Amino acid sequence: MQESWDQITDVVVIGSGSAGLSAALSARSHGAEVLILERSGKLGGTSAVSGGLPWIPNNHHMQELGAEDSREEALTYLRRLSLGKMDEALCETYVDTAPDVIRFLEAETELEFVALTIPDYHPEFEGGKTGRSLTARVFPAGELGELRPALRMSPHFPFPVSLADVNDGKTNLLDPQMIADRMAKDLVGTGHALMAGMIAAAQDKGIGMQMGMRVRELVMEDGVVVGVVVETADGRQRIGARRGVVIASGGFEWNDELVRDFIFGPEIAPLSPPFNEGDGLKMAMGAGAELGNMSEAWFHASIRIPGEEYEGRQLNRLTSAERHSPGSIIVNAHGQRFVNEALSYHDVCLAMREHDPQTFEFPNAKAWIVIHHAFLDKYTFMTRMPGDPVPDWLTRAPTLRELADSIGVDADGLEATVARFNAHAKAGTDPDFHRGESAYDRYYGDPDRDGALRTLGPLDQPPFYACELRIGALGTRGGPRVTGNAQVRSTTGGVIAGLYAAGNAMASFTGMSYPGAGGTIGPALTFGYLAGRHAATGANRF
Amino acid sequence: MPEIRITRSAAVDPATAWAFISEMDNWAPLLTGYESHVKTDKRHSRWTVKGELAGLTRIAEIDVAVTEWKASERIAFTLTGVNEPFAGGGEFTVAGIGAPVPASDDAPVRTDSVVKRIALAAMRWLLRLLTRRGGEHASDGPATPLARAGPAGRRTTLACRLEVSASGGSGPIMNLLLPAILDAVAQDTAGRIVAALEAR
Repeated sequence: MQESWDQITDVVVIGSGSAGLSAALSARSHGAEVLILERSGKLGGTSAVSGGLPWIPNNHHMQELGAEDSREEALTYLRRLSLGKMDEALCETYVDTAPDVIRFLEAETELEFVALTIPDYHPEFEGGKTGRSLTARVFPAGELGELRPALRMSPHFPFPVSLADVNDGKTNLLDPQMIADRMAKDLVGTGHALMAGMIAAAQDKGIGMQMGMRVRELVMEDGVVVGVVVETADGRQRIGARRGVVIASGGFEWNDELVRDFIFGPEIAPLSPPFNEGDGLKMAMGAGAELGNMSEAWFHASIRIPGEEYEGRQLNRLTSAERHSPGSIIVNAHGQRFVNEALSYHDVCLAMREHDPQTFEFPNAKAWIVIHHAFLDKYTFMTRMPGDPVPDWLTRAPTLRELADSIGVDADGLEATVARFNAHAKAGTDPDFHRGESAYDRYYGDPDRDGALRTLGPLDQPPFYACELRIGALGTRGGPRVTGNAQVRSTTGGVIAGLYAAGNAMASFTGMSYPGAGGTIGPALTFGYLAGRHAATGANRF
Repeated sequence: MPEIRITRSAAVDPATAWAFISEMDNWAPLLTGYESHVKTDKRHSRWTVKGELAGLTRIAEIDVAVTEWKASERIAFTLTGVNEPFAGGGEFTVAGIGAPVPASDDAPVRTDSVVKRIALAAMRWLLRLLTRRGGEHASDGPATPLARAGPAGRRTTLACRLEVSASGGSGPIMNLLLPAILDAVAQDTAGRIVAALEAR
C-alpha cells in the first residue's frame, strides 16, 4: 500500500481552524506525526475571522473575575437551552474536558487567555454565568515567520485589539497611537490572535501545514479510513494516514444545495470564509457516517453593505451596537417589532426564522433595523462612526411614514410600533419583549446610561433611517455524530475506524442552543483535542 | 495628511509620455482596483474603484477635479470621496531625462506627525496583503529595477504625488491605513503605466 501514497503521515487533519489546530497540537503532543491540509490559500479557517472566544464552563480564569462555576451548573444551563435535543453524554464530556483543553493550549502555545465579563447569552436562566467566555490576549503575529502572510485576516475585526482590552478598561480602542504601536509590533487580536498562537505552536512543533489542498475523498480499506485523496493545483495526491483522519473542515453554509436540503426556513447569509461547502460532510456521508443536528446553524443577525466582498463573495457583517444601543428597533414588513433586539445575535435570528402556518410565510425573515438621527450622533452603525457622513446604504426619510414607504413596510404599523415603544422606552421598560431586563441585553448597550436604559431609548429625533437585517450564519452545526473521543459513528453501529470529526463539521451536541460567546469555538477546541489525542494514541495501521 | 510620492522612468520620449498621461482614458484601466470612470466635463470626472485589504473589497466613488494643466509638464488635481469621507489631491509631472536613472527612486514619504510615521512603518506589512501585485512588489522589491536603456531624448521621468486624508469619526484610524494602501496602489499602477508606455 505504501507505494501508492504521495505522502504518508500518522494523522491527517482536514482544515486549519481552531478545531483542526487543536486536533493537530493534541495529536503531536501525544507523539504523532501530523499533517494539516487546508483547502484555501490561508490558514485559520472560520475561527480566524471570528471574535476568537472559546466558551469554557468552569474554566480556571473565572476566579480572576471572582466568578464561580460548577459542572452541575454548566450542565443545567445547557440542558435548559437545548429543548431536549442535547446529547447528554457529549455535553458531560465537553464540560469535563474543556477546562483542561485551555490549560493544554496555554502549556503548548504562547497564548494567554483571559476570562471576559460578557455574560452568558441567558444569564437569567438557572446555571447562567459570567466568565465562561475567554479570549486570547493580542499575539505577535510576526512569530509566524514565513507563514505570516498566510494568516487569514478578518473583515470583521481588522484592528489589533482584544476583548481583553475591554475587560481591562485601560485601553481606548479607537486611539490611533495605540493602534499604530500595536501594528508596529505586528500584534493581532480576536480570532487572529487565537489562530496565530495555535499556528505558531504548530510550526514550532513540526506539524506540517499545506495550503491549496482540497480533500475530496477518504481512502478506506476494509471499512477503515487510511488516507485521503487531495485535489491540488498540480493534480491529485493520495496521502496516507497511519492512525487517523480528522475532519475539521467547517460547516456547509456556503453550499446552497446542502443548505436547501437540510436547513429549514428562509435563506441564510453566511459570515464565514466562502470555503465551507460541506466537503467534510459529504466525505463522511460517503463513508457511512451517522448524521445529527443537520437542521441547525450558529445564526447571526447580519447586514450587507453594497459593494463589500470578502474572498470574492458578498460580505455579510456582524451586528451588535446596531441592535443593542438605545434608539434602535427591529421591525418586520408589518412595521411590527417581533423580538427583543438586544438578545444574542443567534436568538434574534431564531425569531426571524419563525414560520406562520396561517399565511404560510416567514413574516420576520425580511426585517429592518430602524433608528433615529440621535443614534448616529453617538453610536457606531456598521462601518459608519459618529461624525462620518451618513452612507447611502442607510435609507433615510424625514418621517417614519415616509421611511416605511421607502422600504416597503406598513406605515401605520411602523408609526404605531414606534409610538408604543417610545412611551415605554423613556421609562426604561419594554413590556412587549422585555428588552433590557437581562444583564446580557445591557452588556453591549450604552455604558453611559444605567439599567435598562443602556439599551432602551425612544426614536424621536428625525430624520429616521433603516437598514435591512438578514438571517446570517457563522456556520452550520450539523454533521457526523461522534463519540466522546470524537470518533465518527457509523450508520451500521459502532464507529468508522480511523475517522474523527470536530468543530462545525461535526454534529453539535447542544442542539439549537448557543450558550454564550464562544459557544462555537469552545466545543471545536475540545473535540479537536479529543480527536487528536485518540488518533495519536492508536496503533499504526500500515 | 498621508502622502506618497512615486517616480518612474520610461523608455519613451516626453511627448509620447505626455500624450499618454494627459488622456485619462489611456491609463484609467491600469489603476489598481479600477472599475469605471465618467467624464463630467473637461476638468471633472467621477471614478469608481474597488479597494482590497486582506481579502475584503469595498467600492469607493471619487470625484476628481483638475486644478492645473501645464501642457507637456504637469497636471494637478483634487480628490473628493463621494461615499466615503476623504479628500486630497496630487499631481502628475512628466520630464525628459538624458541618461539612464534608477526607476525606483521614490522620494521619501512625508508625513505630518509621529503617529503617522509610526503608522507608516507599521503598515508596511499590509503591502503583502493588499493586492496580489502589491504583494509581489512588497516581497520582490521595486517594480521596475532599471529603466530600459534607450537613445538620449527617448527617456522620460514620470512622477506622481498623491495625498489623501480621511475625515469623520473613522478618519484618524483610516489615516493609519491610507499610506500603505496609497503606496501599494501607486507602486502597482506606476508599474503598469510604464509597461504600457514602453509597449507602445
